[in-house]
Amino acid sequence: MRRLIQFLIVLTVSASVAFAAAKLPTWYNLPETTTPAPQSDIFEYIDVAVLAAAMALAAYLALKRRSRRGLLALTIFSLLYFGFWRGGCVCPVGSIQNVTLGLFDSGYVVPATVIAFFALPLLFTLFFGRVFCAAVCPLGAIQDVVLVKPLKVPTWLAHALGLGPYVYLGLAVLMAATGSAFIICRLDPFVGFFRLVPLGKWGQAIIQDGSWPGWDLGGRFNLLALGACVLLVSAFIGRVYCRFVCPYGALLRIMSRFSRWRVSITPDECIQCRLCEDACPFGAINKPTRRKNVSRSEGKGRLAALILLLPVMVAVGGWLGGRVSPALSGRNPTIRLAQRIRDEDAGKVKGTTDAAEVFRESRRPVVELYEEASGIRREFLLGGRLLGAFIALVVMLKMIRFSIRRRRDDYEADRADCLACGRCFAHCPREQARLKRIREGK
Amino acid sequence: MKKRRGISTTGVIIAVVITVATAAAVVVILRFDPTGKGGSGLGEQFVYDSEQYRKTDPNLIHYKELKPIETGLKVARGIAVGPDDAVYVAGDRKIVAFDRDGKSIAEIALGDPPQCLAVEADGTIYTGMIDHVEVYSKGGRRIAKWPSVGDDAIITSIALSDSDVFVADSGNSVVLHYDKAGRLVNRIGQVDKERGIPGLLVRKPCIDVAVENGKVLWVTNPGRWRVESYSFDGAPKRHWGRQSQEIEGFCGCCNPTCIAVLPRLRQAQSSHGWLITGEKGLPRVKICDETGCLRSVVAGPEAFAKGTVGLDLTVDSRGRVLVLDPVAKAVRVFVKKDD
Amino acid sequence: MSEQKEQPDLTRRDFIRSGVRGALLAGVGAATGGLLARSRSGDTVWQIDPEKCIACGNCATYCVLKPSAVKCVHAFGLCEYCEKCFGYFDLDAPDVETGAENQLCPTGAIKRRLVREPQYEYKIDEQLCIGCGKCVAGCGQFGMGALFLQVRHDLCINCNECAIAAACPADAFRRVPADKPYLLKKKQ
Ligand code: SF4
Ligand code: SF4
Ligand code: SF4
Repeated sequence: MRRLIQFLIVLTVSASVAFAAAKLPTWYNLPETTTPAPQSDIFEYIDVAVLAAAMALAAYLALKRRSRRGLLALTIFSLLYFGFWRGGCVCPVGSIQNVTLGLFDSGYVVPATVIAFFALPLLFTLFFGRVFCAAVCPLGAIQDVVLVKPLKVPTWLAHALGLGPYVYLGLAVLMAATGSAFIICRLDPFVGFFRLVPLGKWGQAIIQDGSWPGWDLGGRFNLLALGACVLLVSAFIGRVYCRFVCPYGALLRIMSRFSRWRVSITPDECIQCRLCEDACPFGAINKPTRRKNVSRSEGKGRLAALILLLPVMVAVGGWLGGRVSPALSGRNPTIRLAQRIRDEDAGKVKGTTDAAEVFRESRRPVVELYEEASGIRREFLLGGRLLGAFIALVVMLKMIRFSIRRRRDDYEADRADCLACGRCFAHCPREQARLKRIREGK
Repeated sequence: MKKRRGISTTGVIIAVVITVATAAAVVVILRFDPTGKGGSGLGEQFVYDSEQYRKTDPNLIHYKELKPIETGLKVARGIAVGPDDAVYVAGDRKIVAFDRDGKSIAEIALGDPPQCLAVEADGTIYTGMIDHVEVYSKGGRRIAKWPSVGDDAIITSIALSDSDVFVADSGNSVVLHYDKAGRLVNRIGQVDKERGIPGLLVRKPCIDVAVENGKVLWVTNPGRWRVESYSFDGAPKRHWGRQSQEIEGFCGCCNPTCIAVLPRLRQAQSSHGWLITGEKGLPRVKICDETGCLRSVVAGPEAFAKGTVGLDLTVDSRGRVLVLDPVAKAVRVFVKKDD
Repeated sequence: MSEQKEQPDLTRRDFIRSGVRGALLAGVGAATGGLLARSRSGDTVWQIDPEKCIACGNCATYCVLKPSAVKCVHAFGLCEYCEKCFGYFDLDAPDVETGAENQLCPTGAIKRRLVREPQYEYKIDEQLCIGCGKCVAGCGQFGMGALFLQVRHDLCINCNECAIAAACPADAFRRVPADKPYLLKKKQ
């Protein structure tokens, strides 16, 4: 044993001498480079568990218990927990990009917790409607709590702006699939606020070493300014981000259309009292259809025309998408670098950039870079075409939906638009009756 | 839309707020610079600026560059000139040779990654591995493998005279003096207060040796920013050099990293004892006379990639300075401008 | 829940709806299942590859945190404890006195201590360091490269897309497993 120890000592000594030109005095202990550990994994699993629990609770509160107050309390909790405590990252909205990149780039590994963050809200929505939006999503929550005076957005405008999420979704998927950028994260308007008051960081610091880390953490001005603007608008136009921007919302809308259960305004039956007509701050309540002014044949003709037009429009969209793809591909770092190198070599630009310098010093052949760039450009061309076709498809489906006259006898929350916030419940006299606040009957 | 009963003040205010906020949001998004195009935006005091030293006064540069010789190596370590001005380069696990016009003439596979080499007039090649020396015939056959110098050894350079082999061991800060048969004769450059030898000081392993005229041994002492000459019995002769970022001095924490002795050329009889030195940090190659006075610049920092470390250099009988550029993995060829 | 008005039209719609729901369920399931099969239980975090970093300064300003989660760290094993440290003294500093005017770090974050003449120890005060990389550039160009930048994980909030990574000209950022969260410099 002692031999072994001696041997080891000899080994370590000779190893440390190898390069040591500066022979440090023997009494000097070489300090170690500190490596503070990242947050433990356990927190991530807790986050997933809290997410699932919060959505289950939201479903219960919205569908079963029909409690707006409960949902509001849950909203505030989610804002604090998923927003300020967790710092907002990774949220289901952003996880679209991780999942996309994971599907397209086999070298990119998506952590299980991120997959859960992506899939759980979708699955819940498929069964219960958009209960995630109702009271769990921190982005929704922060808008919801600042909503002071909801204005009605004209229907045509709401429908036009409603295309936003699909366009954004398509763009985000294209950018993530090509490994270019996570644009949702770059333009997340609220994460700046969440980081301004990073409860999580403070909490952990206090738990871990009993110290107060101080106020020195803060968001960046640009992000905060964007967030402030969006919040200002959403004080009057309820959940403006959720309705007209959020790409995850686009996915949730699809899920929600086919959900198993959903929020209903009335606890039992609609008595056509019209009291709930303006109850929804998000314009999600559909009126019963008026039967008389529909000329069936006219409607049918339009429908047939639209269906015939569909493939044409999709093709046109695809073509247009291909045309704009070069502009989109300019966001890709490799393409940007290749462009820069080309411009520099052609003498079109003066000087150089850090990235160009790094490239030149790497001595990588320029043709290799150009080849890589044109490969990505091809991806963008294909992606741009698909994106254009996708947007055209969405538009056309929207129009087709308009021309299908579905009979509706009652006031109902729109399957896709309804955020399950529960604000309309209290407007329904049947609900009041259920709660025994008014006497039943007329 | 049924509620439009006249326009109230609050309505106007709200409309204005929404418009302004939307416009502001658009402006902010357009001003976003997530890709670093605008640079760090840090003040000047945060920027490390050695640019001023990366430019050389063109009047000092007396050399021009010819077409480089691509070595085809992944790691290029050492360079030497052999008979007929053939250029030998050691790297990867081989030695590659080129004729004076840059045409490849030989390739010798080695068992270990070579660090340096020297070639005799008859074409015999001495190459230094990390801890030992191997000798190859002109045809590429291994003639000898000398025993390991020790575990701590990092051999960084070899120089030859008629009957001696000098091996720089940067790991132990010493130059080992062998005879041609590989017998250790002497250790040169170790601390010796009586003889006034301060000892070689290295940080990154980069001691280089060169023999002048078959009689004098030149050694770099990078940690002291100087070059030193010794007689073959280890007696110190001369030394010169000082630390400076300016072109006259040796820059950084340890330089020069390589030297070669300028051959006595017909037209420049006075160039006796002149040295070519190469540095890292500010990669530059220059010629100093026997007193250490700068005579000309072969290539300034602008000729090399930023952060180039590990130049090696040699000079052929025609006075062409051959610099092995480890970043370009090529032999850069410099000739006097008026040649 | 209130769709009990038994009309043939509605049941047909219900039927279609559950069909599509099944399809969507399968879709989400397939995508996540496929990813889960390749996924790793542990998370990943951002880190700088010091061999790629060119100390451009973006780390100081592009982090979503202020001051940045990136700090200078010191690989003591690489350091030569030089008296004239190129990470500590300004390139043009006239002498090796520890006066503020000679110091390279604009925030005075590097602390110098005599070990034994002429060897000095240099330590980074992370409270003061803003991650500008100036000293990294100095030590890298003229010294041993013992100073380098790292994302400090006690500070970093692990953004989904690191804002510095997006702005790094040297492509030096990459995701590393959270249980090996640093890319430290070592002797070659
Ligand atoms: S942005 Fe990249 S190159 Fe610049 S200092 Fe940070 S890691 Fe280094
Ligand atoms: S020079 Fe910059 S990176 Fe280096 S210690 Fe100072 S603040 Fe930190
Ligand atoms: S991940 Fe976020 S917090 Fe961490 S270094 Fe990058 S930008 Fe800063």
